[in-house]
This record gives sequence, structure tokens and C-alpha cells, in this order.
Amino acid sequence: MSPALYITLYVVVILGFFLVSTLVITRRRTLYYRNFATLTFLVGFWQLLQLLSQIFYAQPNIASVLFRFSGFFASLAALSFIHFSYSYAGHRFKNNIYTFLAVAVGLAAIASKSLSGAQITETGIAVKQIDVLYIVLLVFVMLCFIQGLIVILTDFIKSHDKLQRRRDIILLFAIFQAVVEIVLFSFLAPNSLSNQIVIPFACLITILIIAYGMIQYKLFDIRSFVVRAIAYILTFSITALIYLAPVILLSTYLLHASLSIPTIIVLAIVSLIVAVSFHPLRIKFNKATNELFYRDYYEPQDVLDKISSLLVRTVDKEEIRNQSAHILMGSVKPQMLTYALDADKGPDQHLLDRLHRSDMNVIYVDEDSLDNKNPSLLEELRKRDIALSVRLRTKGENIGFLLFGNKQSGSRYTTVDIRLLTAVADELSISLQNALRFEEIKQFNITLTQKIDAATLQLRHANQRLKALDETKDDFISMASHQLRTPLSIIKGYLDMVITGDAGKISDKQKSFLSQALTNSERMVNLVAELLSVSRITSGKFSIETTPVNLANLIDNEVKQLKNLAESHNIELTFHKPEDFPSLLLDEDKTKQVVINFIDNAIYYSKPKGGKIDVQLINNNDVELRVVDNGIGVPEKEKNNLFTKFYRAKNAKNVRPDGTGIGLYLAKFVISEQGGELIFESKEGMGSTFGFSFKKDKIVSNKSVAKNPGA
Amino acid sequence: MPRKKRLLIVDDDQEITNMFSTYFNKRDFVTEVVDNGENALASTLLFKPDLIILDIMMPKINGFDVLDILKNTAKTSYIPIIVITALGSKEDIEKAKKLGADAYLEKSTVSLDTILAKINELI
Repeated sequence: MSPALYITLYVVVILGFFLVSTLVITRRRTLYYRNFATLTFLVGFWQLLQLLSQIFYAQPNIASVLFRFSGFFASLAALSFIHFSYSYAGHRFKNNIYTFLAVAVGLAAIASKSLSGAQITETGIAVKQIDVLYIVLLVFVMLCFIQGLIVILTDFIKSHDKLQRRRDIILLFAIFQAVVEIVLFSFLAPNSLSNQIVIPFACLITILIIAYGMIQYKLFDIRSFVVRAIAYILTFSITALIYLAPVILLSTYLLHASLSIPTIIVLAIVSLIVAVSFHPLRIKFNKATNELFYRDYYEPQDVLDKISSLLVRTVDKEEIRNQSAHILMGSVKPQMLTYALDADKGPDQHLLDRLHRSDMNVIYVDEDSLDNKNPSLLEELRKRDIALSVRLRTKGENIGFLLFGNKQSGSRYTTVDIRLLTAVADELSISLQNALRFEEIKQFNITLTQKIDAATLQLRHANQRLKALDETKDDFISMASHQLRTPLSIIKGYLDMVITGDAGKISDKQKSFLSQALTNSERMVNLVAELLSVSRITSGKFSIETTPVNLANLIDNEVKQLKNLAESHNIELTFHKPEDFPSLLLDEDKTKQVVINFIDNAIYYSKPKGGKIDVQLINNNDVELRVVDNGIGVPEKEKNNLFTKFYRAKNAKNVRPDGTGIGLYLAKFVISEQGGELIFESKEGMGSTFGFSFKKDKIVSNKSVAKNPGA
Repeated sequence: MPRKKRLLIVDDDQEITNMFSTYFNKRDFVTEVVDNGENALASTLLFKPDLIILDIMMPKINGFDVLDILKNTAKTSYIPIIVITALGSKEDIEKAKKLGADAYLEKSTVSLDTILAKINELI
């Protein structure tokens, strides 16, 4: 057997063990993984020592030492197998006797005459003489392995999990076959040199079986990693061989030098390193030369990635423009680059229009550009030093153009460049559209807020003015009413005196005339009182003072007073004063005004030819006053507004242009403030009923009539 | 003949005071007019009225102060005072009552007869 092949086998096996050890230990750190890693490492090391001893076969002392130490490691490996098998089966192994034994046996191996006396060649090791220590080593190793195997076997029998049983079988088989083979040959033919090959061979099979178990049955869960690692290693090895083979051949046939095995191994390792490092080296070399020779070189994917991450993190139009320009300048390296956006409304709108009209997405102004339908446009672009124009367009909406000058290096825009820029332009279009829309919305929001603020300010001012106006109006009414009252009371007073006869005897006619005057002056007084009440209500100074009031008497008085007025309008005014009408707690003055107002209205809003007014005072469930007339009535659509301040119905205005529109408003207010209800029924052209009702709880018993406190 | 009742009218409005004087003189009263608050106290002490008719809205010293003074001066506190004024708010009525007014009448709505009736009621 050729040494090279022999060595290769060993190397493969050793590497295999070390590889498995590394893979397992890096992947998981559970106990039985660790133990397996230790086991494979130790086995690998054992093989390594054996190989080394054979490599140094020419120096027997070194070889012997190495060989004896391999025995030591064999002992340790046996111990670790026990540890592994126990932890694999889920048991704890804390038997320190074994450790002690293992070390002892190992030391014995080192001392063994058999081992030290073994014959070591390039291709084999033979133990010629067998001594006790050697047997002890063998027995110990065998015992450890058998014990371990039994543990795993027990676990196999106990386990019901199919997959687990498979794993167990594989493991058992892998190890068992190796143990059997190795032990057999160690016993049967220890002194046969060529049988040394059995050991690495058996180990190789073990490794392969375990590898199979790991891949197929997840014996150790590093499946994909293993596959990749194995592929990696294979590639390395093949590459190394490819580098190594010519070197060896060269040296052997050209230089006629025979390479010793150590040299070969060194060369192998060197070529492995070179193989491994070539690819990264190559990239580094490329980069360096690019910078020197290929000034234009850039990674398109790199640019796309940068653009993508930019667009993902910002919606700001300016930032998108600036940053993307920066990225493109840094990669494609044009002399100049600008955005020509429709939204900018810049001075080059004319050029933009022309670009839009030529419906090409990419325009490359080039000496050799063929078939351009638009030479004038190209001329325009050339004038402005634009070499390339890329359209920005998305979802049917034109956004603008990206304009590039010539490349800094002076070279052309390649197909790759243009493809990249088109892709970038598409992405940018979408983002810019969003950014523009976003800006629009922001602007709209600002404008809206401003408008709202302005409107609110206006409203506030208007409100203030209205309030001031209202106050002025109220003050005016108050002042006017006060000023009007004094002369009125004097007029009343003197008229009264003359009528009573204080100024001498008067004729009936004089009396009648003066009575008219007096009545009307009283009307004026009422009117002024009404006006004042209105102003007081609005300024919040209105007050209801209640005293026991006999409505029957009150109405009777007023009816009498207004009889003249009624007669002058051709109205028959009737009132049937009820007997025994109870007193109510009311504000006398104000209620009187309400009554006067109702009757007054009835008189004035009568038909031209005259009519009838009946004043009814009813004592039912509630106490009611009704002033029923057959006058002009209230039109349907005016009914809702009738009781509002200053409101006058159209037909009322015609009949009585000087009405104030205050009377009913006051009436409603006075009645509701005293807790009563308005009565209002009307039919246009037929007549109306105005009145009020109070609940019986307003009634005051006659006995508790209190003295009027000065009003 | 029974003694004529004496009325002191305190009001700065000449028209009103003329009217009152005419009316009450015709009805057998003796009337005296004071047109400002400062002289009201002096005139009261001098004239010794049975009843005072008092206006509120007067320049310099207003009726409330006069009322206050008259009611708090021992020599004049017994005299009934009718407050007749163009004012008519709740607060004014309260204030007058608090200060001791015996009656409160509103100038424009009240008739002379009513005033007469009130006076007869009080004296």
C-alpha cells in the first residue's frame, strides 16, 4: 500500500473526528453532546498520535514515544466513551474509580514493553511481543466499550420512540463494529504490520455511519451545518489536491526531487490555506484594482439597497431629493445631477414640457444615438450639459425627470447603468409622489388652520360688537324709559285733576275728551313700562314680586278702563266677573300689564268693521284667563315667532303700524316666570284667543292676605 | 275744623312738585317743597310735617341717604316716609325698605288717587 494513500486515509479519519468534535461542541452544549465531542476528539487524537509515530518511523525513539502516548489516549478515549454512553442514555456517571483506572492504565500503556517494542513503519505498526500491561490496556478498553454499549443497548430496549431506537441502533452499530474489528485484529494479529490499516479503516466506517445517523436521523442535531461543512471541506480538499498535485508532479519529474512525507504534508497544508484564502483575497484584489483602474465600478445592488433604505425612512421631499442625489453621485458618478420636478414650477418648465411630450422614458444624448425623433430636444439637452434624462412617473402620473450630466470618468452610460437608474427612478417616483402629496396635505392643513383662526377671530369680534350693541341698546331703553316716565306722570296727574274737578267745573264733553287723553297717557305709561321691562329682562334686572291678587277685580278694572277704547274701535268688550274668585299669588303690576296687553291687542287687531271681545275668567282644574276675539287672527307660519322680542306678524303690521312687538314677549316672560302657562289659539281671518293659566297651587286663601308692603 | 295734615315733598323735579302741591292743596293738605337732599333735614325740623314724600333720584345727595338720615335722627324718625320714584328695581325697593321707608310707589304707574289713599292709610 502506498504511503500516500495510507497517510491520506489517516488524515481523513483524523480530520473527520476533529470535525465531528468541533461541530458537535459548537452546536449544542448539552452533556451528551459534550461527551461525544470529547470522545471523538480523543479518538481523533489517538489516531493522530499513531499517524505521527508512523511518520517519524525513521526515528524509532520518537516514534516509540508517540506510539506509547497513543495508548494513553486510547485509555482516555475508552473512559470518555463510558461517560458518553451514560449521558446519552440519560444516566449520570460519577464513578471516579473508572477515572483512576483509566489514568492508571494509560500510564501503564506508556510503560508497556509491548508498546515500546512495537515495530513501526510507514505503513504499519506491529506489536511483536505482548506483555501484561498491553493486555491490561486492551482489557480495560474493551470493558469500557462493552459497558458503554450495554448501557446504550438497555436504553434501546427500553425506548419506545421509533426514531430514538433507530438512532440507538446506528450508534450501537457504528461503535460496535469498530470495537469488534479493532479488538479482533489487536488480539489476532498484533504483529502483522499490514493489519494496522484496520484501525483507521474501521474508524472511517464509524465516522461515516455516524455521519449518516446525524444527517438522516438527527443523531446529533447539526444536519444542515454538517452538510454544508462537509461540502466545504470537500471543496477545500479538492482544491488543495488540485494545487498540490502539479507541485508534486513537477518536483518529482522535472526536478527529480523526492519529497519526503513531512514535506508533502506541509505543502498540503499550505495549499489548503491558499485555497481557503483565495476567494477573499480575490475580492480584496478586485476592490483595490477597481479603485485604480475601474473608477466607475459600483455595485448596483448596493445602490438599490441604499435607495430603498432611504425611501423607507423618510417622507420628506427635500430629504429624498438630497439624499438620493448623494447616493447616485457617489455610485454612478455623474458630473452633474438634478431633479426636474413638475411640482417645482421652475424656470425650465419649457424644457420639461418638451421632455414630457417626447414619450420616451429614458433619453440618452449620445453621439451614436440612433433614431431620435427629436433632434432639437437633444440639442436643448446638450446645451445644458444634460447627457441622460430618466422619467419619473408612477401610476400614470408624471412627476418629473432625473437629469444627469456626463460621467466624471468620461465613459458612457452602460446598459447596466441605465437599467439601474430606471429601477431607482421607479422607486423614487413612488416616494416622491407620496412626499409631494404629504406636503400638499400639510400645506392644506396649515391653510385650513389659518382660515379657521381668522374666522374665529372675526366671529369673536363680531360677537363683541354685538354684545356692546346690545348693552347700548339696553342702556338706551332704560334711560329713555326713565326720562319718559316723569313727564307722563305729570300729564296723568293734571288730566286726573281736571277730570276730578280740581280746576273747576267741566262739561261732559270736556270730561269725555280729557278722559280720552288720560286713557292714552296711561297707555303710554304702560308702553314705557313694557319697554323698561324688556330692557330689564335683557340686563337681568327683572323681578317678580308676588302678593295676593284678585284677578277678578283687576280684570274688571282694566276692562272698565279700556271700554272707551274698545267703543272707539267698534268693539263690544264683555267681561262676566265671576263671583268668589280666589286670590292668587301674583305680581300685580306685571300681570296687570299682561291683561291690558291682551285686551289692547284684541282691540287693535280687530277687523275694520268691528267685532267682539270676550274676557273670560275661569276657575276649573286650573285658573284661566281667556281673551277671545274675532279679529284678524295669526297666520300659521307666524305662530312660532309670535312671542319673540320685537316680532310683528305681517297682517298685524298692516293694521297697526306703530306696534312695538314687545307686548307678547313680555307677556310670555311674565307668565312663565310666575309659573303659569300661555294660552294661545288662532285662525287667520277668524280670530284669536290669548290668555294664561295658573295651577291651583297659586291660590292664596283669603284669610292669609298679608298687608301689602308698600307697593 | 280738624287740623290740616302737613306734607313735605322732597323732589328736585319742579313739574312734579307743582303738580303734587296743586293736588294736595286742593285736598286740604298743607304742603311744603324741598328741592334737594341737603335741606331736607333742616326743612323737616322746621316744617314739622306729618308725612314726607321722598324722591330718590336727586343730585348731590340722593333720596336713600336722606331716608337714612331722617330715620336715624331721633327728632324725625317717627315721621312716615313714602318713597315715590321713577326707579323700580327689586334692589331699590329692598334698600328703601331696609332703610325704613313706610311705602314705595312708582311715579309713572301710580295715580294721584293711589298716593292719596296711601297717605290716608299712614296718617
